[in-house]
Amino acid sequence: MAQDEAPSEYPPTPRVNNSMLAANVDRFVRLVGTVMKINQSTVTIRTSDKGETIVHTNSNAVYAEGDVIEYIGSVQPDLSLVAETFAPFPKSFNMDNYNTMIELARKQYHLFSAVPY
Amino acid sequence: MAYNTSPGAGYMQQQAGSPHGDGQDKGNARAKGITSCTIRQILQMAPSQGNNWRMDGAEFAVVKIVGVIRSVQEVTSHRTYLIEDGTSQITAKAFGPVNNADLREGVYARITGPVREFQNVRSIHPATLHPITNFDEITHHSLEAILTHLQRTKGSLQDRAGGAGQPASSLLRSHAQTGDLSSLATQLVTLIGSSPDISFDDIRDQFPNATPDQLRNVLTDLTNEGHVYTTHDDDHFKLTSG
Repeated sequence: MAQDEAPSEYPPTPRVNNSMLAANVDRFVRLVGTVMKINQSTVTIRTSDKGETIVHTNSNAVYAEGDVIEYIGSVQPDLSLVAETFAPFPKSFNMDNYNTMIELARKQYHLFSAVPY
Repeated sequence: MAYNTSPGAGYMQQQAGSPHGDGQDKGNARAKGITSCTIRQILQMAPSQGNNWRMDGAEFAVVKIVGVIRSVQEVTSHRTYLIEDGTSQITAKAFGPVNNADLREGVYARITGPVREFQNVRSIHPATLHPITNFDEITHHSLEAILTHLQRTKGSLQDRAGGAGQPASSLLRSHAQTGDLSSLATQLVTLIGSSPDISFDDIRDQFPNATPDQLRNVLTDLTNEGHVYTTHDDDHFKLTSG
């Protein structure tokens, strides 16, 4: 079995925005957004394409409104995200350039994923 | 799993993986430069011809990836980092002392180094391993990987009308052009490229109006960007491409 086909402890997580969630239900993805609202273990974020996504997180996560967070998690049928882990990004992170990049990356998906996403 | 964005620089001396020299063998072309790519691309490459790897039909000596350190295992002689970039995962085996405690699990890092294969398992032997401090580098690196792939498979941007839309084409062009470099950086690249191996003292002699700190800062940026690399010590430099 080729190395890239072997089961991985860290499955591929393509970078997506809000508009790409519908095409990735039941799949692990990477979603970056700005925290808009926190309600216990549910966070509403503004994604790089200016959409809004609800993220279900570990209630012990510590961040605040306005923080930029990268979530890795599975997309639910209702297009929310159940987060497995997260990473704080700086507030200076350029979301517009990032959104352009992930849209380009999706067109060249073979560099990032075995299947279209 | 929490990440950390603490600034810092990590640099290791690589014991293995010397640059490829001019091939005197007819079948052994010289591999050049640093190739920005994804881990998936590294794992999908065809097996190497001797010490030369090919990606998209082009030979290269060194790869650059940006990913998250997922685990660190330390033994007497080396550290093994497991790196994941969202496309796949790969190990980076670093020999010698590592003088950066920020290279730990959960940290985004930039790794450059040659690809090695042992018993059908590929890994990277890092020449440089730095935690990233500007997270726009994640965007930049993915764009570089896309641009490199497209240039090698479809030709240069100048040869292709349209492209992926105005904002994206502009973004790619701004990253592709060495005009992104400052004037001093461009002059340094030109000077370093004119010599097979140039010392910092010789560089300083050519730039009497720049302070040593200015030169050091620009050289560090050029090294981090993959334009130059240090040779037998931190005070000798060589151009990566050419």
